[in-house]
Amino acid sequence: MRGSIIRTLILWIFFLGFFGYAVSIQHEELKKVRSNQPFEDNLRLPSSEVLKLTALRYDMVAADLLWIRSIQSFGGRGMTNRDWRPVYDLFDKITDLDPGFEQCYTFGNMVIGDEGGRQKEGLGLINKGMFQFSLLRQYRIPFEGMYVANWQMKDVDKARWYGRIARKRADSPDWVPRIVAYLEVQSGAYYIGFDRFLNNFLLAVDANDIGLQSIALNKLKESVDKWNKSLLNKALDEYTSSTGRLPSRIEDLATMPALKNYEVAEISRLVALCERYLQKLSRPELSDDILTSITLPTQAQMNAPIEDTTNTRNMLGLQNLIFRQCLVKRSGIPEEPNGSHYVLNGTLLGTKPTDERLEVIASENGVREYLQNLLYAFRATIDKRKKELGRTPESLREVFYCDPVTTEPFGGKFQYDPKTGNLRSTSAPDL
Amino acid sequence: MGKILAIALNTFKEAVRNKVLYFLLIFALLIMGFSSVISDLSIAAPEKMVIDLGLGAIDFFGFLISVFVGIYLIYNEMERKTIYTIVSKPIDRQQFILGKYFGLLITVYVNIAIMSIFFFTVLYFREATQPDVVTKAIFKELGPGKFESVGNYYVYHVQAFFIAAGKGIATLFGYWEPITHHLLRVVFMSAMSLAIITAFAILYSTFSTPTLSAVFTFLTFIIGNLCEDILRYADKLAQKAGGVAQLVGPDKMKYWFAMVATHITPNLALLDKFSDAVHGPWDAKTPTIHSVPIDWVVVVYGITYVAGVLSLACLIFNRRNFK
Repeated sequence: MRGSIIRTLILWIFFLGFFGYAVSIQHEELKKVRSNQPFEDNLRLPSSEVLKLTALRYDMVAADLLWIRSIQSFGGRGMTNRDWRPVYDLFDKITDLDPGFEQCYTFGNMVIGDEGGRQKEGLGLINKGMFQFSLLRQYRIPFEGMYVANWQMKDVDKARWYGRIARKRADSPDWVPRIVAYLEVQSGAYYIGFDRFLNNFLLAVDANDIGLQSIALNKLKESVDKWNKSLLNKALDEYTSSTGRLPSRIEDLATMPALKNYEVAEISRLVALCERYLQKLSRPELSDDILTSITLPTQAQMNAPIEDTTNTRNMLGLQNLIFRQCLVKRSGIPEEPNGSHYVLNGTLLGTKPTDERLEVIASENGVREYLQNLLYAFRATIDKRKKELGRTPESLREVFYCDPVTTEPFGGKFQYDPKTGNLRSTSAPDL
Repeated sequence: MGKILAIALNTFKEAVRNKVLYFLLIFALLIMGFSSVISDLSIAAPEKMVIDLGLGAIDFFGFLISVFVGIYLIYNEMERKTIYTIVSKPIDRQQFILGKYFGLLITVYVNIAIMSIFFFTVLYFREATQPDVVTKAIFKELGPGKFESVGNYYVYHVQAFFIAAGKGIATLFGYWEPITHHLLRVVFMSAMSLAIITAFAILYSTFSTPTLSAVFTFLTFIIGNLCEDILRYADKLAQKAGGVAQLVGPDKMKYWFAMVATHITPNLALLDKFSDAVHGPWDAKTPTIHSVPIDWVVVVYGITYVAGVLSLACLIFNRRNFK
């Protein structure tokens, strides 16, 4: 009995001694782990070839386990110096093990590009996944590439390349071509952009979807507007370099080489053609709801001859025909597509606007809006000064502490009435 | 044929008494059940993870069962001297080997069937217990933001489990939903590769000890999975030298050794259809459904390979002296 107790006691001592010592060693080792960067071990993974060999035929399972690890690693990056390499290495290896893992490419691109700011490396993953055999039908990966290239890298040409691939993929939704068309216009490929939006518009006409028609028509107007403005800006450059001064009116640009015998699409022609062809196909005419703020066709355009339509029963079938007929060769100031005219914004003329929305050449309506905003800002400053002085300021000099240097956008003048404190523009007294 | 069947059934009865079988089966089922938990850790593609792990578990544990059960079958007969009572009867030795093989194969396939039912059940149950599906099932929307409870959460889950189990069993007989489309074909191809491995387990057990048989079968499994890599290695050697004719010395030997090895070892990668099940071709109209075409040439390859290995096993066993 006594011997048994002693034996038990000795065993307990052994257990506590050995186990306690092992725990103390482990404790010291854990301290060392703390000094390492979390997930640093990801960098010490064997190469993809070795991983693939050791995974035997269970490489997809291995990829899944690494995928979980990569998510942990991404989540744990808050603890680290946000080094992108360990997590990139993981995504690269996962996609080597399972080349068809679509989510790994897109998520990897988001982690590396969006979050990590390494867009080039993120696009590396996208490029790797985009042409994997099992992913050839999927639009998502090139679409992500387009997103990163355009909105993060500001590389429109690269974005167009990804967008064109995404558009052709079998599961590409109908809104992808619209975004791609937008990129085409942004990059200066106006013909392509116009053609793509025309496709959207005619599809919507065939589907009798007024909402989509309106969206597509607005995009068409936008692309024609950008197209026109690119020509006008070129003419402005030619004018300033040939004369050494700034133009006083937009008409001054009409004789410049850039505005001689150029080709451009016209919205008024498009509307005329659509109405004529719809009539010929015995289809209802375009809804008045979409024909607001638009340059309507002239009588001559409405009477212009149209082609034979016997080969088709819908508007989409006429796309190439309509596209060709929308194009016109002309000289002089182009037609503004929103029912307005192009004018020079005198305030911005000769300056380099920092905001890309501010344009030296804009529609008359746009410049009026700009003038209205200017007047609003000036009037607010006058009111503020009025409160400070306790009376109406005697002159604009008293408001701005110097003579006003801002030119009136239409070339007129700002008139200040010291009696009432009112500020008006001579070009647009109604504003 | 009757004798082979009798031995096969007897082998099956003997195998199901083996506790290792149950441990492996329980472990496989746990992994499949656990895959559902692991997939929740993934922020994307959880179904992919469940399918990958499920198919992987069926294949790998099927392999372990065929090894750990198979290697003892013939050894035990000789160790316990029960082989004498069999060979003294009008039974050919090849009938004995074939009976043992088919008995083991039935054991492996019954286990695959159980694992598959469980796997399909997990997939169906996951589908049925997605939050939106559960909400739709147990709540009725009376108006914007107003819901009325029309069912019990726990009762719904119990019901969903039994329905999923029913569907799981039905899937084994051809029923499918988008989530299980063609998965049975993948399991079928796995079963074919296990038939080859089982044949090797029987072959090795005709002339060696269980430990060695297990080692040999494991190595065969590894080489079988690396068959295509070995071929690429051989090609790389030749490419490096500027052509097969330019190979000299050890490289030449390595090349021909690799070439022979790739031709005589089973190419198990041919029967691996896991990737097709997850990323295979799909119809643009139903992008969630992947199709896994059955390659009948590969099936014929598997059958003829098994026949070849079993013939060799019979040849060796016929010459074996039981004294």
